[in-house]
Amino acid sequence: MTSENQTALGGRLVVVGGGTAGAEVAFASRSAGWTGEIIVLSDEAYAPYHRPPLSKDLLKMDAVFADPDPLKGAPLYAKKNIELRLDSRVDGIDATARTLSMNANHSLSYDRLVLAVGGRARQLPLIAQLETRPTNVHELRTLDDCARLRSCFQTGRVLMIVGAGYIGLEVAAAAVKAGQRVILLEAAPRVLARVTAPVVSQFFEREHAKRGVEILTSTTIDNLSFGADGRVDRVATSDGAEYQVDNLVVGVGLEPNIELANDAGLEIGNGIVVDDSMRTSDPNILALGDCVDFHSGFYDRRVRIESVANAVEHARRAAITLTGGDPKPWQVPWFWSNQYEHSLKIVGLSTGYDETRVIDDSAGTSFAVEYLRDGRLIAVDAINHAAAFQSGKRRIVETIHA
Amino acid sequence: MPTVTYICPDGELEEVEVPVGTSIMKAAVSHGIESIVGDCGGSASCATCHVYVESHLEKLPPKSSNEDEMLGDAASEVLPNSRLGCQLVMRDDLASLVVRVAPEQW
Ligand SMILES: Cc1cc2nc3c(=O)[nH]c(=O)nc-3n(C[C@H](O)[C@H](O)[C@H](O)COP(=O)(O)OP(=O)(O)OC[C@H]3O[C@@H](n4cnc5c(N)ncnc54)[C@H](O)[C@@H]3O)c2cc1C
Ligand code: FES
Repeated sequence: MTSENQTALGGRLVVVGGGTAGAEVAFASRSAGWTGEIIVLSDEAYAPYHRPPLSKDLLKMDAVFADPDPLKGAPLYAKKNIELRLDSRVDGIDATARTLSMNANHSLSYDRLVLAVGGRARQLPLIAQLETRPTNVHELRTLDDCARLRSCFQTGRVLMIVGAGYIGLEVAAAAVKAGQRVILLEAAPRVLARVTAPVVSQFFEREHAKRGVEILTSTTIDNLSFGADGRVDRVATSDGAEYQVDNLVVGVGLEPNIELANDAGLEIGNGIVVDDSMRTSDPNILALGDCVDFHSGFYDRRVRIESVANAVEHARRAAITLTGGDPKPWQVPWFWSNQYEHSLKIVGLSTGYDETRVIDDSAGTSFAVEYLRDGRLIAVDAINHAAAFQSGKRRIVETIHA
Repeated sequence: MPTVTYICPDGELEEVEVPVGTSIMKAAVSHGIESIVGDCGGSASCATCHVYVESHLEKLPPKSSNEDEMLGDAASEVLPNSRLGCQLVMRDDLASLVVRVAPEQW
């Protein structure tokens, strides 16, 4: 261990962001030997919780909308001596003085700082330009967003979803179950176009259509009309149709929260730029999770990945960086999604594939798509086929390192 | 309340009260049994909640094909009594369950 690390271990570690990566880095650093203070600052009102259920189980109306599913049990914060400060929004960092400012006036010093600030839902330009945001336009990033969306299932009947990525599709599945008429708008010619091969898109289009979701691909919003209360009441689409809607969900991707880092003078790319040990361009500041731009050894390019597995892996790596020691080898990135009774599991990044192979051992209900580039396996999409996902994980490492 | 005894990889025994309806992964994570990781929150997607069931094996509901396949490539050796802790939900007749936590979870 370097002397730099020995001094730091007893210092004050401040984590900005109480999401998946923030919670994990706090606990992992404690386990790895950080003896000093650990303070987690979150601008949310709830202790760090699991986000995936927000678009899955928590939207099912037969589920009780209970407290969020915590990432770490409440008594553990005291047990591990981790101070969690909720409703604490960091609004500035002075990297030279090693201090940050909170809720506009409080200041806090740090020895090491970790930015685990995630991202925010991308807005539709048509909505972003409005002076006040209509109350029936929803996004889904936080527990509060989820609660609002659930309550609108009770009052409205027609739900339009913009964006057929994972979140849009998961919301569609939950909404039809809740009795909504669901209209799903997608600018690309097929759902999940950015991330999967056509066979996978077709599978999900079929499953959603079977339950009555109206899927409009290659379609965008042309115009919005508003009622006297400022709510969106009609949507004109690029195919010339017009829809009366009660609620609108926008699921068109995430923008990393880079502003704090940028203002502090840290290097920014497609996110906060970090090295293999999760350090930013300031060695006292680390960054992790959805907000970072890092180099993937498997794909030999810089990536920004939005997944739970990525967030916890970054956090465990950062904890090792903070305390000294050797990190575990990188994992191949992976992700999952559930819609209706179907489980989709994805391993690897399929961008840039030049060949696909479909493995189907059923009549199309349980299958996997392997993505290859120059004859090497780079990704697998497994639909109700965990075996293909698990073996894909192993084989991608083998073929990429071969 | 029914209890579960977790035999941790370092040999420590942890006895935890697990409410009926709660998975033994959730109970472990909320009690700070760090050797059970549970990254995916219980959706049978990560296989970081691998345990070996040491009692009541015959009473457990059978593995789904998904659970079986996820275990197929778990980080630790897979044995006939291997299960995903998130898929084992406490019931009255499982009281005093004993599980050994797999040494490597990820
Ligand atoms: C609805 C939904 C469903 C998902 N489903 C899946 C899934 O099935 N599988 C999967 O792998 N991934 C899924 N994801 C993605 C996964 O949840 C994220 O990749 C993961 O949460 C990223 O963790 P993070 O800590 O980087 O960011 P986040 O979890 O977003 O945490 C960032 C935290 O920082 C806080 N914050 C930001 N700025 C500040 C500030 N200035 N001061 C204080 N606090 C601040 C935010 O409020 C937030 O609490 C889903 C995400 C969503 C929203
Ligand atoms: S918690 Fe992920 S498989 Fe059990």
